[in-house]
Amino acid sequence: MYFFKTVLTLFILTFANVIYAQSVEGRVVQDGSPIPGVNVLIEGTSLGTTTDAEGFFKLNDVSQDAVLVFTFVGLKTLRVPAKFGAPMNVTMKDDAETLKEVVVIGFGTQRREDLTGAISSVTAEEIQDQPFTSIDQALVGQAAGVNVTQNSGTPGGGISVQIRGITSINGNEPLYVIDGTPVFPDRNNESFSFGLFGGGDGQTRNSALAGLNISDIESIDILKDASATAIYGANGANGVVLITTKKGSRGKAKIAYEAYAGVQENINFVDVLDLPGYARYQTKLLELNGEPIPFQYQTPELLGSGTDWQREIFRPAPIQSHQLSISGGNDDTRYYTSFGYFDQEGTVINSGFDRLSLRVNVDSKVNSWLKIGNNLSINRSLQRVVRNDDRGGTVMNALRQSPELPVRYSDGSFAGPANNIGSGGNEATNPVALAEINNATTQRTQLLGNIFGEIEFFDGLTFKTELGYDLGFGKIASFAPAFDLGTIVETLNRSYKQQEQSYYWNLKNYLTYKKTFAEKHNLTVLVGQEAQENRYEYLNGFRAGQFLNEDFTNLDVGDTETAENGNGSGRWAMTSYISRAIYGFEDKYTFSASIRADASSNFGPNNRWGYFPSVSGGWTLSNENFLSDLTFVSNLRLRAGYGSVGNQNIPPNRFQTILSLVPSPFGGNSPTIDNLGNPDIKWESLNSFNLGIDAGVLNNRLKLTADYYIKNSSDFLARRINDESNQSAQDFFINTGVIETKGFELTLTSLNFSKSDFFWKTTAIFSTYTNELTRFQGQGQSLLGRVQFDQYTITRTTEGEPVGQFYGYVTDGLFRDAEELAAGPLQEEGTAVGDIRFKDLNNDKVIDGNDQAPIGNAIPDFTYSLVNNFEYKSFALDITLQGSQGNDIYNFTRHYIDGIVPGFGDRYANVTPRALNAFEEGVNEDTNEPRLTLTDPNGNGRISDRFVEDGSYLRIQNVMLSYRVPDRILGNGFFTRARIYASVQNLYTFTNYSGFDPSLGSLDQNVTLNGIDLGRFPVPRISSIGVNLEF
Amino acid sequence: DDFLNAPSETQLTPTDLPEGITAFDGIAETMYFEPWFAFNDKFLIAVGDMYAGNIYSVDGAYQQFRDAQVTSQNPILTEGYVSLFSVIDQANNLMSLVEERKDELPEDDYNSLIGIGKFMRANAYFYLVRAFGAVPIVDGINTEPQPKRNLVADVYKFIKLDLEFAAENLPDFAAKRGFVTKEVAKGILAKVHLTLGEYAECANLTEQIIGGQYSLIQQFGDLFNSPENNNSAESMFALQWISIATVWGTQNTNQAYIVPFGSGITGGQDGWGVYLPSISLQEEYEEDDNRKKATIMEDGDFYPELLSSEGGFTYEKTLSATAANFRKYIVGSAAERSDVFFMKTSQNTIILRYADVLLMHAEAKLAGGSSTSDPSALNAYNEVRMRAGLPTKTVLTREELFKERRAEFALEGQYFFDLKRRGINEAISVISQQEVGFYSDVDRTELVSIKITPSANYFELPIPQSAIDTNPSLLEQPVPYNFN
Amino acid sequence: MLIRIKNIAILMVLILTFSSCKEEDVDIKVDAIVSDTGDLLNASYPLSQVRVEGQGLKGLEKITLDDSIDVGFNPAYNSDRAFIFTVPFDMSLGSRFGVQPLTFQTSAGGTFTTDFEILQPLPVINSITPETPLVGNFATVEGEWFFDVSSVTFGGEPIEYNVSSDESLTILIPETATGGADLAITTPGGTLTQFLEVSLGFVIVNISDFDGGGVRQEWFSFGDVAAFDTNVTGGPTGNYAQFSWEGSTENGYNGTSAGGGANFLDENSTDPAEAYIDIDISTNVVGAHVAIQLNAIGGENFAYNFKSEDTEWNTYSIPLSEFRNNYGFGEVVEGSPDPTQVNQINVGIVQSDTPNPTIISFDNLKIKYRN
Ligand SMILES: [Ca+2]
Ligand SMILES: [Ca+2]
Repeated sequence: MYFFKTVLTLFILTFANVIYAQSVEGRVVQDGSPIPGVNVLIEGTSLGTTTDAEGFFKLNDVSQDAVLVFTFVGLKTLRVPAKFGAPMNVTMKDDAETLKEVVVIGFGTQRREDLTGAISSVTAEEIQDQPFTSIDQALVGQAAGVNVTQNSGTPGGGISVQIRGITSINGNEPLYVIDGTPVFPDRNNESFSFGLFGGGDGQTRNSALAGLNISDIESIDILKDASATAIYGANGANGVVLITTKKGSRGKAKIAYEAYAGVQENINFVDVLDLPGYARYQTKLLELNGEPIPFQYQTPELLGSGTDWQREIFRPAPIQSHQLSISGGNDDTRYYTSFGYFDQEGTVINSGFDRLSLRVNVDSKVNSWLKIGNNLSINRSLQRVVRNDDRGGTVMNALRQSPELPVRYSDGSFAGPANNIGSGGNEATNPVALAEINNATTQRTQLLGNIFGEIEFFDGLTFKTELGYDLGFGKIASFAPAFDLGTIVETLNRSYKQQEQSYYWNLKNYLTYKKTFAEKHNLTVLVGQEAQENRYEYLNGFRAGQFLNEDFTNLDVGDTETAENGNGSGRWAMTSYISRAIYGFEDKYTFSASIRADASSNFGPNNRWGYFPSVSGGWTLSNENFLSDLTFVSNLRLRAGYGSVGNQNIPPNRFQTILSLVPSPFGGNSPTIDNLGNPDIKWESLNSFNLGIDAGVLNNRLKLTADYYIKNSSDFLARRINDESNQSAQDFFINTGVIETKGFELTLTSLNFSKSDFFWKTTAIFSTYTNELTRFQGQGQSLLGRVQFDQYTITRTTEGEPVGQFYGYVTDGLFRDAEELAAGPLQEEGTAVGDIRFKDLNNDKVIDGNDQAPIGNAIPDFTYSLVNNFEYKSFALDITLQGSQGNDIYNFTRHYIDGIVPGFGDRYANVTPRALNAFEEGVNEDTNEPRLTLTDPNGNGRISDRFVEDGSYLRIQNVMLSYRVPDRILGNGFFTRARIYASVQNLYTFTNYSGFDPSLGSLDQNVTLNGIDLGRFPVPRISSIGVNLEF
Repeated sequence: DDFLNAPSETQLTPTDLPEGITAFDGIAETMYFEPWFAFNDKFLIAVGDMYAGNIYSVDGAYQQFRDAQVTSQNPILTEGYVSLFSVIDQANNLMSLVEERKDELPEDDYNSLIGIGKFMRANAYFYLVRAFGAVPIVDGINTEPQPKRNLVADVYKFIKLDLEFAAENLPDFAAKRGFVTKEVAKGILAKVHLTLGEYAECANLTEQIIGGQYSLIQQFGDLFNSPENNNSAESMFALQWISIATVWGTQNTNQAYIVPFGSGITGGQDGWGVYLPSISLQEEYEEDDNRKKATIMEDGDFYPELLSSEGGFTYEKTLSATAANFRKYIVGSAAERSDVFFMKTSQNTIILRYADVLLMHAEAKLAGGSSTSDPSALNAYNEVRMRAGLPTKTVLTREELFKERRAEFALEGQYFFDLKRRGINEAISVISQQEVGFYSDVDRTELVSIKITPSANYFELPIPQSAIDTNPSLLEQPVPYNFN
Repeated sequence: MLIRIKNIAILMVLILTFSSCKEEDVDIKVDAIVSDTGDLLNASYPLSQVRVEGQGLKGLEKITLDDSIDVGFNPAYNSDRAFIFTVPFDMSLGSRFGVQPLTFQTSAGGTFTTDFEILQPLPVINSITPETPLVGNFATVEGEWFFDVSSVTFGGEPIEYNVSSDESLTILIPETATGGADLAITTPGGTLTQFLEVSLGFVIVNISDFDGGGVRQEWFSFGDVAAFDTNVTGGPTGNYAQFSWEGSTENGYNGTSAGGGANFLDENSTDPAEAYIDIDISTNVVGAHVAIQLNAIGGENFAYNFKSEDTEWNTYSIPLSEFRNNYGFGEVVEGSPDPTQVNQINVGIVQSDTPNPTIISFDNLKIKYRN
């Protein structure tokens, strides 16, 4: 209400202004050099001009109190009151902030104020100097509707980026486009799968962007709604992240050195029993089994605390980054080149990541009509992984291994499980020893970039041709040596190597016609074509035997008898036509329409082509006459858009029957059906509607962007559901189902203070969405999310429910006495006093599968972030808070560490203190922990709400204090700019979650396994100090 | 459009196969191992042996079987159920593909391929119906999604129809060692009849097999301890395994669970001694039964073929809480044969062998009675005993027959199903007397006795929770199957 | 300035004093060493677990026994109040029994020494070879803790023995042993007693000794026997039996017998090569043709026929496997006769090929079986 009153008051005041006109002239320079082509506009009008080749401008009929607005791509927009009489000398400066004003929209750029779609932008400044391994990580908390979670703390490990919730069940990662070249996550981003040497695979999916040097990023534009992403057609469904790397700017060459170094540490530890507690727990189990109590457990109070395995596997780990760049240019040619080195040890022993990167970006105006350019990144990264996110993973082992087992015996040798001491099997042997002796590295070399040529036929009509490429060369080397750890002995040394190459290219040709008619009709028309192709091939080999030592792991050193090899290759291709028209009228109205047609080799001839249209419009109310005098309203714009995009995130060639060759005991290979072809499969499609508002008041000191959207993704490619009628459903894809997502997101930026020596800006971001599978395969069929060799079904995705709904039994306290037990409901044959009572949801007095219900969901009620930037004189303080509310977590690790689910080899495993608080008749009845058993005859460990925890959190994501050495101190010295800073990332997390870290993401980016904690590698706290120097 | 055709050099389509070769033979071959993998991994032994008291185990998921209190969440149950239905599904896939191209196939090929499909499907159903009771019949053609369970009698009828077709249409002799034949189908069909108490039909079939192409081999142990003896003259239907270091799912994993924990016999990190012979089973063997040492390792037993690089392995009772470990299905380490890796051996899992046919014959002749002196029953029975080095008998009692079976087939996943044939009352009385406890001291003398009395539901394991999650119709009452 | 330096110097001295104090005065104390084998204090057996209880024990780094033996341990058990280790005993490292110093050292630099006694355990027998030794023969006893063996007795009587090592000794089973008895080995660790079955050699069934012993007492003669007396006196071993043939061929056969009845040997005595018929015989002339007959075993009549080579008393020990079928005139049949079925032994004369008259004296008829 107050708001409207204020608007009304100011509206009236505006009419009181006096008008008087004169001419103004001047010159615009940067670093002493004139800048041609600067837009000079009289604020509040559409009147303006541009500077000439020498930077001069002249404007007539300028009113007395006019303010001139100087804008130029890459430079900070200036608002200067008009000066009359003498020439104005205007000095413009570089400012990353201003890049926000031009938004990369794919196949072109657009002024922010002309946008019709929902696009968030992140500038280099907002993410700079923070110790992120890969660019996707840096998006945490930076943009509304963009939810970023780190799937694993493994350096270089996987990230889940979800733009506006869940669109598909096949993968929700957005398309990343770097300087026009898409980087598909299916290329080259899997690390070694430990399952090859036995046990579970662990999480193997890595960030596709880990090879890129984050310091090279100039800006990131995130296309969120279909009207914005339609230009990417079949790849646009999950949103598109457009990454623009730094370009040189005209003027004197700038040499910059940026570096930071820091230390990472694991901050949370899960409470498991120490040795005295473990002895008490084991004593209870032994008593249950009627076994004698060993000597060492008889006096638990005298025992040492035993091995704290978590402290043993985690370590403070250094991180450092260095980058040297040189950039510059003249009127015709701009260049940027950089060399980066990044090195990160993991907080879990024997993990790490390092990267060398080189970038060369050049563009040059050859003559008045031809411009050519080149962006190239060459990088090489080396990742060392330890098995994680698996029952056999290092972190899970550290939780489960007995405190009775030392890391090393007194003679210094690694300890191993002895008879009845320590949890045996290959899994929890000795997490430190296993992590130390097994080596798995993934080396990636990537050449990524594009070259382009742009011809201007005549004013407004340009033709651009771009050849993008992404060449990847991967090398996986893993060596698992023989060892002797107590009762666990491995006599074979095993070595596995894989080399792989992928070749991706895309060729784009498009004509752009951009013209302003009658000074008020702005038209941009684009017509073009794109073709792309990806090929990959791998070759791998294995040998076991007597390798000399860890330094001689080449396969040739192994036994020829054990030699195995593998080879595979594949290809996909796509051809597309695109067109788009943007029409603007008087900076008031913008209409945009686009259509793209894609044909992909992923689909059969029946449904190869997909068509993806969009329309959108924007109306800048603040430029309307009826509001033009309302000066306190700097900007008010409404946007609406509707579009259709596709998703082709499925394995290739599913339209035809595919055989795979399985080694046959009868000799040779047996062809077996890997996929039953469905010739009719077609594009998943996403239709989305977006309604947005951009507003700025008080000279844009307070800015707001809000968007409401409805997304309907339909026909998604799903495997036919597994039920008895079809156990091999992984072999058959159909288009089925509809997911409806509705969401709202808000970004509010407030310039709280902007005085000469104090500046305070606050940005608040809020996002929420609901998600529902409105239709699926029919007959009430569900898609199940399973873990641990598919033995446990944790989520159910079914009609009328959100995707990835946790589904299971509802607990109802314990049976506390015989009377309660008799009252039922009837559970299992072995149910006894002290067991969990489950709710009889259908009131038939029997607990069975019908008594399951939705018990939680990983989808948050809302997510938010709050960024505060303070500047005081030369100091700056940035604080980023980020949080999530109402997201549930299925804490699967507790199945193993609560001491209630007996599983393979769990008899001697460690547990949480909950197990000591178990119900014991007449001894410990005031508890909610079920009785201890050796077999869990009641199924206390079944999937139930017992393991669902509130994953809400508020995280102090980043605190950075920096000091910019003032120019007066630098003087005319060597440095032109110097800045030092200290930052802490992931400083603290407020949460009630009992696991390591509530920000979980999806296991291997699988949306049906969202929010499930399987003993993941937690994300560390990183404290760092850094320096930026320019000279 | 060539640009958009992206044939992969790894992913074959049926048309990529060379002239004269159909995918069917390959698919039919995979039916012998791939879909059975998880069934063989834990389920067969857990249900067939542990559930009936042949095995002691302290591992929780297994222990539910030992205690005859298996919950629907039990992961072993789930794996077996899914695996058996994937056999059925693969069989249905094979048959529908074969039907599609019926015209192109020679009639014999067509018949034998359909025969294999039906044979495998019937075997999977036979395990399902005996373990779970009513289950949905899925014939691959008319099945609705989310099928309801069908009546037990109909499931058996379906199995018989499949096996009768197989017995009619499979070839007389195996084209490759290990392929099933008419006689094998008859053997399985005989067991189905036996299970249903149709003794005359069973005896008729076993008579047709006895004296035919299959026979007992001399060394009992060779059936289980040496992949080189896979598909011997005695082996009629065996799951075929191949162990490859970098491939998962084509191998036999049993050795990993069987080898005494900490003995080093596998040479790898596996060998967890999860299955320990129950005291009851150990006591079941007569003196001088030469099967015992090949089935169970006891204190002082020496095995020169294990840990051969160290001069052999002498078993010590301290390795096991029941003072013994199993010997069956152990093949050794990479030092003995180059195809042993972590959780991988190439040892076949025998589902039906000639000794079973002989004992089935004797059982059919007993025909539910308490003893028999029918010469053909005695001959069959004594043939098995003679190989075991035991004296022959002139009268065969029911007790003796089942005792013989227990000793002969221990750890082969048969004992529970044998008990099931004896009826619930008899089974409960047998089981409740079995000692399935363990020794609590190092000397293995202090017995902590455990005896299990199963409930009345003992014969039907619960349908796995995870299957119900996928198909809630399984909670509904079984319905008749439409055979038309 | 001077004052300042002085202050610093004092401070440094203080620090040094303090820190060195700390090193020497680490408050380590051992209250008791508790054994897992019961209520032993400060003493235990080899390979048993012991818990050292006290204060200031945290950070245990090294345990040394008897000033020379490095004791391995599991550091996970170590608390400030206790640690646990397994008492080592390895002769090759110089282990010994008795009270000896136990020294341990903590990471804080403290060391502590206390007395600890390794007790000699009771001897353990793992095996005796042969399992059932023959009287008068040696047997090897494998076991543990055969240190300072002071005596070995069998049935309470000292016997000859030789200690080869702490894990092996040789004993001599006395000739006089009449059966199994307790074998007792005594060391400072105590006396281990274990029953040992011994083999006396053969199982001997005395059929008749004509002095009132044997399982067959009532003898009779048949066929063409001229005279028969079972109580002839003056033989080397008391009374004996004597019969004669004087040329009669009325029946065509003759013999003496004590008749049938229960089988002599048990059901395990199945190997005819291990079964012997012992008999003392003396004949009136050289070349007298004696027949030892077994009646109707498996439907066959077996016999062993031989001619005497002198007229002295001789002891014959005839394996059953040497008997021929058809009254000794057929073949030696492998595996026959079945010794378990023997219940009647006849002694006669082969009339067709023997001097006339032939007088045969016999005594001490036995059947024996080698176990
Ligand atoms: Ca219910
Ligand atoms: Ca005498």
